[in-house]
Amino acid sequence: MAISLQKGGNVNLSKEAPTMTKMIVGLGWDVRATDGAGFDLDASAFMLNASGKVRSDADFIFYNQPKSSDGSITHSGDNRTGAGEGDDESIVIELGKVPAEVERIAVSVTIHDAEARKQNFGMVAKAYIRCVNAAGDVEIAKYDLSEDASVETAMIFGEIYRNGADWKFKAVGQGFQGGLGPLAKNFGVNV
Amino acid sequence: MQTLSRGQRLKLADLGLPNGNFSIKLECNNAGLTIDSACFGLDAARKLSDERYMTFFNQPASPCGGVRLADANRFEFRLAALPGSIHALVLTLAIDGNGVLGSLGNSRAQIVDDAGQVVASFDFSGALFKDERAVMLIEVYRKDDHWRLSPVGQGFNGGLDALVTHFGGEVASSAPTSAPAAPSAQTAARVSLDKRIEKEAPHLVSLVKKASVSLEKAGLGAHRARVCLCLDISGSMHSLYKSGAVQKFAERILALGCRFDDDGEIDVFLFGANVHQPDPLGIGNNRNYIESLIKKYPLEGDTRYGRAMQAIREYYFHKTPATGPQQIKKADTPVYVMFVTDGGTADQPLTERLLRESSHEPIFWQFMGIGKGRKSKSKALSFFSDSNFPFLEKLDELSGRLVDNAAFFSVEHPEEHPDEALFDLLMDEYPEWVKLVRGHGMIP
Repeated sequence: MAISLQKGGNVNLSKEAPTMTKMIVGLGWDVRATDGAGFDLDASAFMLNASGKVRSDADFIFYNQPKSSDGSITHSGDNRTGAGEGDDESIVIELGKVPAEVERIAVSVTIHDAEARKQNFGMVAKAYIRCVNAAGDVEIAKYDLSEDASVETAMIFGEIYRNGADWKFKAVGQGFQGGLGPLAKNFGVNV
Repeated sequence: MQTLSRGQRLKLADLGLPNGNFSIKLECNNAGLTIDSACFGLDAARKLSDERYMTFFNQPASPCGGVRLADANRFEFRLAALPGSIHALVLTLAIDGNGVLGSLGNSRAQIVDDAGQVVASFDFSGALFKDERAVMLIEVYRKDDHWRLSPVGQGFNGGLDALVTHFGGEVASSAPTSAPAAPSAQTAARVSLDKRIEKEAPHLVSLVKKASVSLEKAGLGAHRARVCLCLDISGSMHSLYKSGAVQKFAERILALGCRFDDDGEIDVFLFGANVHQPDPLGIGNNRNYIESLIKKYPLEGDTRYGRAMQAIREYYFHKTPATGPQQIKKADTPVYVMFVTDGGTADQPLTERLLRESSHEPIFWQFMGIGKGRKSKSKALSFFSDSNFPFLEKLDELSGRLVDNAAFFSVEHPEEHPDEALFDLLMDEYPEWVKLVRGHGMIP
């Protein structure tokens, strides 16, 4: 039984899935039911050091740079895992390959062209982030952040971070004004 | 005062409305558009499973009183009164006629507390929309034991129909018997019928509302039936036809028909010595309907209930085969016959036989005697111990029937009761009959 997280809650991944080596971070949302421009949501991941910044631009994994230089993180885009109801986008993390300097991995979602389309996360229904053990497609934890999303156009959905020798996951649900560019800049990416 | 943006979500308590008592006041700068507002009460699956929870001009309050259209542009909410089955209330706007919401001028929806203080305002205009013809403007919903509010501001190019479909699921894409799809199609049909009434027969609008209230009270708010008006045209009825009393009565039955049925018409039968079936009485032809009828069918010198009943049964059920050990006939919708007479009948044995036979069919006979009778609801008349209608009183209690399929009351004059009281009287025994025939499998 997967753990359902509330905003701010966390789960110890190493305890829940001790044998896990490869984790899929699945992201999903409902297709727009109303008329108007569709919601084009993009997932990205930031590999952050102890001071909360990327080591270099190579640590910013997104649709134009779908793999980290060390091969630990892969952006699978629309590749559906087939688990559960199917995620819209996913990010695969090989935990053992993550360099030791990387303390945390922030997973964010931004709305493409949000300003022109006058869209925000409050308009998107049933957005979630979930952690799945790739071995056996077993869901470990899920965070449904619909009610925590509002007028933001970029959001950090969750964070995978080190806690001693363990990996933990935190349901963040924090909005960020301005979209992907300013968000990346905030994490030290040169955009 | 807080300014709200599309997509924002917040707790009502954070707006200073912890008890859920407030109003939403709409100020639309229509720019030439005709815009109707409605509030949909949705279940946990976000469907309008109970169409009594669609609050709009023709159904201005939910049964519990939790949602009320207080005036044309103000919805009043008492969230504590809502049943647990209602999970969300969605305030919607829909264009009636031509145009798109993209051309809407600067408009706003204000959240007003009970003291009249505006606590929040959602400002919107055509800039938020494009070709939409119906939108979900604001949603108030339950989440973890709290009520929350969100200016949704999203909609459909398909207008009200698309909105209703959104809240009711696909119309009959699965099996035709699937019950949940029916209310939404019905709701759409009812809304369009109500618009026709407003346009073509505005004098019926308040009558239809009163009929709605009585049906709600009888638990038949979503009930479907075909309505038939059977009128005595014996010579003694002359003054009632002449004075317009029959016309007025017919309009009241038409109003009932507009709530039981979506085609805005009721079938009419006339009987004296013979039986006639003129054109149906409808929204489009109801003015002077009776006057022109009587020109075409002059009053006759005899009264024969049996012949009329036979013709009505044949019209509705002659093609329906009788089935089962009780030889019942089945139909998707039952028939409600309003049978009006001012005297006795010359064919009593036939009448009794037909009433017994038709107790195996989904047809209900509501008799109204005009004259003196013991079954009068009027206090003045109840003192009379004699009656003009001993036979109708007997019919009401007739033995040998599968179900009690008849009701009778008498009036001194067709306009003796105010509209509300008349509709209540018409629903005195019918709801019980509906349960009985459903139990026998005659209607779904």
